[in-house]
Amino acid sequence: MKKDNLKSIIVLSSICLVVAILMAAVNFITDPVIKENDDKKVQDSLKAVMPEAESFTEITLPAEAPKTVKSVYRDNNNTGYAVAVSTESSYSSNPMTFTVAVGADGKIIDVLLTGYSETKDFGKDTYPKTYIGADGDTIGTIDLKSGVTYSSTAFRDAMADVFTTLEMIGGEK
Amino acid sequence: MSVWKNFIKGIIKENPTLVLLLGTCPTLATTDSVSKAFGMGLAAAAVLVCSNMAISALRKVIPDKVRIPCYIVIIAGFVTVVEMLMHAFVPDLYEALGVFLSLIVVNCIILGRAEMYANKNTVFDSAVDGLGMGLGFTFALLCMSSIREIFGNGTWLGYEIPVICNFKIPILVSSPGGFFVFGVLIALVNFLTKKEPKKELGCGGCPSAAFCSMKNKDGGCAEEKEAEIND
Repeated sequence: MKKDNLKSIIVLSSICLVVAILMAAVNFITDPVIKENDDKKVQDSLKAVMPEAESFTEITLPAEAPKTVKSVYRDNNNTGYAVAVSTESSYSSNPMTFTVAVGADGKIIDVLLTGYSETKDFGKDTYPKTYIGADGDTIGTIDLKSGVTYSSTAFRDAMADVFTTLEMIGGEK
Repeated sequence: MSVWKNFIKGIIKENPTLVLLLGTCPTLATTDSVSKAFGMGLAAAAVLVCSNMAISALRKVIPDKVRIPCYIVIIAGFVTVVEMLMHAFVPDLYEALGVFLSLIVVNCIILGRAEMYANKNTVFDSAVDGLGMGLGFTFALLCMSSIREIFGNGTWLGYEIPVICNFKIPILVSSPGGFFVFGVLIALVNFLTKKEPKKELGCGGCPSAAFCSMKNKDGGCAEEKEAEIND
């Protein structure tokens, strides 16, 4: 009996070890490619939300900035900021990601959802656009989406974090 | 069973989706577009072939009492590998499939073939079985997604189809349409492959006659015979 149990433990542990090594090897190959794809996606989204901007400068985030804000870029022509955001909505382990452009007047110019893997769609193309024109004071008044409240709440909270971060770095309110 | 028969059984006769009714969740979820269905089918087929081969190779080593955890670890490992490869090299498809790619781990087709076939047969036979079942799954997804995309969206693989695009039936690309098309395809496969049941009356025509304890030597029912004698 003890021998059987020992054999089971050894076999299961060995399989786990081999599978872990296999995954590590594949991760070693795919990780740089995935990071490169993600960077390209962020750059493309910056151009999409601020098409008139020619180039961007990445701003170093303060340590106390909300974790949802991943990076902030300033347009070198001083027309505003583009912010890359990543948040979670309780259901999926894959984060919801979006890029938002905030103009020099502190109002949202455009929003682009770059990653959304929930099974229930909250209107990928329509809901984020309802935030255009809002600023730090009016963001809380925007309606949530009925039936997809977790995702839309996560989206709205992350939007509020964008304005908190911009205030921290001395940008728009 | 010959290699060809082993391979071909998964395509129609024992099609995992339309005959065995396994893997229904990804079938309904990913067949609203042909590209998603094709990606899901190939991903599941790759995992199926690899996991069948690995489980078959380890069948004499894995103790019976931990076989299910071992199968799950092996399957989850291959699914994660496929997921990482897709994330790196086909990111659009990876995002389109979303959570359903990870859910291949608990796909009944893969665990079912591991338990029913791979742990009793050689590595080569298991690979052929996995390939046949995987392609059968892909074939079913392609048929279903083609119907849904062509008639529901007026496109095929994203290309607009003239005339049909003016007479779309949008419900086909939503969940109720998925169930409807799935049901119609199951009925069609049943109609084409299943023979009419025997219409004999009495014990001999009973579906359970082969293993009935009441059956007598002539194939009739012992109770029936007794009743005839008493009459």
